[in-house]
Amino acid sequence: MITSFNAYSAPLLSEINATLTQELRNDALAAGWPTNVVESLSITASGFSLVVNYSLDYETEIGDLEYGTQTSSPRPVFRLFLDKHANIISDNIADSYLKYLEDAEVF
Amino acid sequence: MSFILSEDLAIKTALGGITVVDEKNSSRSVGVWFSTPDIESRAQSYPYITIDLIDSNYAKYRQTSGIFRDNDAQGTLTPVAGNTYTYEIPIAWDLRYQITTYSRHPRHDRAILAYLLANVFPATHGYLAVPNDLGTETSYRHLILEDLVKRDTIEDGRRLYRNVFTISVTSEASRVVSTSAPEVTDVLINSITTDIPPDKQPV
Repeated sequence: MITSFNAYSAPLLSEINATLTQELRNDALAAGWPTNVVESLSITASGFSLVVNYSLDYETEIGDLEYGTQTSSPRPVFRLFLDKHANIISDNIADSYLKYLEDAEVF
Repeated sequence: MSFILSEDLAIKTALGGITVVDEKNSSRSVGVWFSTPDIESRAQSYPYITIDLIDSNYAKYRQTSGIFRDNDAQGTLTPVAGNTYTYEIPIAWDLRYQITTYSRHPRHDRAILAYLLANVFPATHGYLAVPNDLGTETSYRHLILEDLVKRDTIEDGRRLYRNVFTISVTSEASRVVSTSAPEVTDVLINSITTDIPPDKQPV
């Protein structure tokens, strides 16, 4: 039997993207980021890495929020989020492949 | 001092004493502040460095547990009968700080950047000396440079050079720390601000 793991993992990654996007937005709201900026944020998986997407209209504002300015302290979201989820893609794919093999009674 | 307070002080100490050179001053001190300094201080003191604690994470990856008993200082002393101490292994934490440098002069910016990368944040080879409360011992913590971002900008029509360092410091906290940490007794606020730059308004 030949199995395409890539095809098998595509729906999984899509689901992870949606879940992580919501979590990132929640983190940003909790950090006090403006709603319009928060709504422009999303997450996509690129290989085993996560990529944060945002509107270029807010690029400067996001940089000031994330790193602070001379008059405002940093309210980091991206760095903490990406650090917390550094291995989530590889962990989820490994778990799902194992489950697939178990369900298929390959062993 | 205690958990976090000790690391705060140690970082401020590590960043202290930096001087830069320019055509007007051959030994200009670089100030170090916790978080964003008041506007009157900031206006007078470029270049300067700020310290922000941005996260603290339970370091599960290096946590051990149990009761530690020792009678020979981990094999470094000859055991003496009856001389044994016991304590619960502390909780491992990773503290994450943002260190930001601000300069008006490009040579100040480069000098500070070079100094910090060579002496304080040498990639993954950094360490932080944290003295104990008694001043009798110093522990050395891993200090890892996680990220460096250049965020130069224009402020009020003038150049402002900014470097943002994200660093991690390994730490640990005893369960008794929370009971021995100093409590806040007074909050001191300047009711009258002075030395406000001419183009600025007091808050």
